[in-house]
Amino acid sequence: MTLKCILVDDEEPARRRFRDLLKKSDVPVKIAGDFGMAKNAVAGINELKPDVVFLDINMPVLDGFDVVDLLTKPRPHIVFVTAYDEFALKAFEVHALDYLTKPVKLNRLQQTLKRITASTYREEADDRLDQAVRAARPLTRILLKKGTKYIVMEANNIHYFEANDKLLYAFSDTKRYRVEQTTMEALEQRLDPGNFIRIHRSVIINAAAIQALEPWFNYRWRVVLKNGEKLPVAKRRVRELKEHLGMV
Amino acid sequence: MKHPKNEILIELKSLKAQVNPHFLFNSLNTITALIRNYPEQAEKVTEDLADLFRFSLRSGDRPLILLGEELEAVEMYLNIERARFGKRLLVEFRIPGELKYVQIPSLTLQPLVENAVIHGASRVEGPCRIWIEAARAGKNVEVRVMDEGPGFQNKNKERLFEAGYGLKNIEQRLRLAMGTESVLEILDQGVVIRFPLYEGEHAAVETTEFKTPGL
Repeated sequence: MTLKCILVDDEEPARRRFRDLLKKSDVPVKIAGDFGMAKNAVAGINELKPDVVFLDINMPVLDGFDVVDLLTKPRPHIVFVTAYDEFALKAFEVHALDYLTKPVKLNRLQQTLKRITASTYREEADDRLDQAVRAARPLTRILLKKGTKYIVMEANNIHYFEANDKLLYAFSDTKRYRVEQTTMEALEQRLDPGNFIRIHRSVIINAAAIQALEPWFNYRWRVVLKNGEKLPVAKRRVRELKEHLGMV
Repeated sequence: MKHPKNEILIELKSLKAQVNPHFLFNSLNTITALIRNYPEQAEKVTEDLADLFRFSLRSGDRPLILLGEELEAVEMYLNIERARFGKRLLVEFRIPGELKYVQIPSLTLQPLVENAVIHGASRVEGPCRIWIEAARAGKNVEVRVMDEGPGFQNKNKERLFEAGYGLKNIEQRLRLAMGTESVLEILDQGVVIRFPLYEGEHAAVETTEFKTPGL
């Protein structure tokens, strides 16, 4: 069986290199097309119905994740290709999604092609793709409830999230908002780990809101926020917090 | 006028800028793409990459350099990115010859130009112009790094400083090296740095002309 492939990457040399690699592969492939612009890729993939799409993540206007969102189902196998994207790669590993790192090695590409040729159970892979994409794309806007009204806020404007008696709250300046239909664990997974860090079983904090880290009683620590609020840090999370703030 | 306070330079080492891992991996990918069909260009990119890394490693020992030397590093960086982005990346330099000899902390402009590529040019599907211009403003030098990309959505300096673009580090080093009147300001389509003019040794800069490469 010959695998019908499509390549999507905004960088021309990267596409050329990928074509060369596919031609060298001992798994039979046919290159149905390559696209430098994501919006053309969406139309092309929906029309050409390839078996597999090699999809760059970082592209202008629409990124690789947006492309996946816009494809009609059933979708082809998606293999993400990226130079360096620690956060996304972690999400792919958690969800057992195959990916390639640039520069791509021929051996590694062949493994992927063989795996795709052998796979039969497509629906499960499709679910995994959705989960992985959701996890790989950090939450940048959050829906919050104030009174009876829902408002959308940039995640970066939130100082911290706190769980209290099964309810979840977001704090921004001195205001408190309800966060519905999610859990601390789900939030921790989806917030950008470059900005947000869990400092307590019940608290996730925005690193940009931290003013100081100070010793508290009993060899414990607490963070002082720029607005003067103070929050305790769980003992076992102190080291991680210090690492995050570049102190270790 | 020569720059007076050399002790301060020691402090600058602790604020040393770091090389971006994305840039390294993308450059290696560009090189692998060029080796087979464009071996000479692959050689050139490899040489520029090596020179740029040497420049970056050395910046700890020599934190204060001439604007002309910094622009040479910017050129090396842009050569590598041009191989990657091709005609999407259009660059213009507008640098008066006499300003090539003013002092500047090393790795001040290169990261600003890198930001213009990452957050400007690479976010645009078609061609995107980046321009770097220097001008004398009284006793100060102003250097602008501008791009035709999406621009800043929010120009709040404090927030941008916390956002991980390395702008805070750049302003800190600039103020430490050139005096507290130095400043980095956010513009709609880029940034400007302003700092007191001190001349360095002319001999350190080659007679390179910084001009717009032909398209």
